Amino acid sequence: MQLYEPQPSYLMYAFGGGWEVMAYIWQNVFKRTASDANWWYMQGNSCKLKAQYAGSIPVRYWWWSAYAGCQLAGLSQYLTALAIVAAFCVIQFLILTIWAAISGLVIALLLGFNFLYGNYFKIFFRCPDCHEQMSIPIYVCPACSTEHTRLWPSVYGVFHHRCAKCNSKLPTLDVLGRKTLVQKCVSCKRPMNPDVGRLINIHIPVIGGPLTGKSNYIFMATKRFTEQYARPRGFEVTFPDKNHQREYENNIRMLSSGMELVKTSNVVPQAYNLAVKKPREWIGRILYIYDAAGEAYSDENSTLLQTYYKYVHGLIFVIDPFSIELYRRQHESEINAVRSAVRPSTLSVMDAYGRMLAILESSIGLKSSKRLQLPIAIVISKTDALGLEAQIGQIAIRELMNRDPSIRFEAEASKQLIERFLEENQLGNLVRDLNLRFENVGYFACSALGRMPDASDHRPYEPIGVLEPLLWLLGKAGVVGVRQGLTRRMDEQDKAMAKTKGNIFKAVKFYYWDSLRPRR
Amino acid sequence: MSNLRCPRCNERVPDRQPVHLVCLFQRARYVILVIGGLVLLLTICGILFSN
Repeated sequence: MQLYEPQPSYLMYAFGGGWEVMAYIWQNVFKRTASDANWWYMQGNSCKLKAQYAGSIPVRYWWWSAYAGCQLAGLSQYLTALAIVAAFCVIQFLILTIWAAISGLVIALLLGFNFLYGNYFKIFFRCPDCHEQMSIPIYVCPACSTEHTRLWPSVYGVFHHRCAKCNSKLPTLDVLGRKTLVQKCVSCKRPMNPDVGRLINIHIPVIGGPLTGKSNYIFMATKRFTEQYARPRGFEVTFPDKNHQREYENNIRMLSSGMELVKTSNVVPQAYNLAVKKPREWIGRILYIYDAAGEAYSDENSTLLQTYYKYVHGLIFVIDPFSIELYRRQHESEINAVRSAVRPSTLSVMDAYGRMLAILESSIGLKSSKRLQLPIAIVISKTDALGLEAQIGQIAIRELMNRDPSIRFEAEASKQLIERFLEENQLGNLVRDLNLRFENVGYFACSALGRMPDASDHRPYEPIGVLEPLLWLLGKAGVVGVRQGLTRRMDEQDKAMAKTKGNIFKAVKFYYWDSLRPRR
Repeated sequence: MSNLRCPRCNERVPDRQPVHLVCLFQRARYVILVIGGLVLLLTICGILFSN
């Protein structure tokens, strides 16, 4: 990172103007003094001539005295100027040195504080378009559109820089109003929304082959998260980028009128930003949700363009059940009957998974000896079709939990059902590989649309199970407190169970020890 | 890290822990607070009235 770069701004007086004034005075005061002194020397020279040609001694003495006086007058011009300039320069030097030292100290403190604050809270400037991380974006002067690449406390000003083109005062700190200026990416030069670099970054890519339903999932999950989770709990959820808000509103409008979204075409996706702030939270989070077209995982060259993987906090891997070879063969006639509605993905699950691993390997490095801490949500989509909801969806989860009371969590039941489903469909190697490589794997089933798409049906789509994977990931990333709600429920269940244990000692033993024993 | 999970929070539990210690401390936090307070009080009383 280059700390200093010449800026289109005026240097601070202590670093620029002050020293220039000193140099100017040193150079120019003696020039002017010389012309004044020369006048006296010329007067002296004429007195000298007169003295040389004078006849009588008293007259000659008079002219020699005048000559000496003129010489002294010329010399005194230099001495006086030297005394004044020396005094000025000493005082100016002291003032500038102290000023520069204090400014340098304040600059270092502010830069150090900013650096530590950003690193502690994991706040970074990352472009949602080209995914470049920068130490500071380009700020644009609101008056003359001049670009300032280092608008932070520096030799150009501690709290403000003054634009050299239009003389406007530009704040160097967010608290002074820097965040109201237009900020641009240093790499692609596109404007970035004002929350980039101000909120804690959370990056979540949604991965899957073409036509797995990633875009439908993202917009429906965002809608459910905003309306059903965030709003009742007093969370502030906003779109920092007006274009993203417009896109979200248009897509939700389409889905609400029973229309499907247009297929994503960007192989290198633009991150879709969402700002989330919990009640009484000081700094909110900015979610970067990446929706790359499924073609991004179709070939290796496109896969390697997904450079944002080095930042990710969690992954959502979407599986289209109709792209599973065995399942497709077993249900061929049923799938053919609804092929135009379900639109099976053309990429095999293992190919998409393999490419995702290849990107992870190249961006964050995978070690065979150590499991990745990165949480990954495996989401089986399109469960509204072919009775999958009853096989692996919410209905199946409830049934399994009723049948087996030892299963306490929906996530546990969902894991059992989906692992079994994948193993039955010859994807046991995927399950084993996931458990081998990732520390936190969550299994979910969802239908982003809730029913089969039908051009003649304009009822709004009602998604099923889209919120759970997103909440699980956000919980792991510390954006939402899912764990507290879960543990509170378990505490109540165990308390009720402890009361049935007969005496207080057995109840205490059960509540504080037996009920906390880990199990498989 | 084992494949064992905590029945309270569903997180993985390290092999060495007989119960998930995070959950144990969370569940027993009030008990710990009361007992800790009492011990502190008794210690202070002991020091003050020992002479």
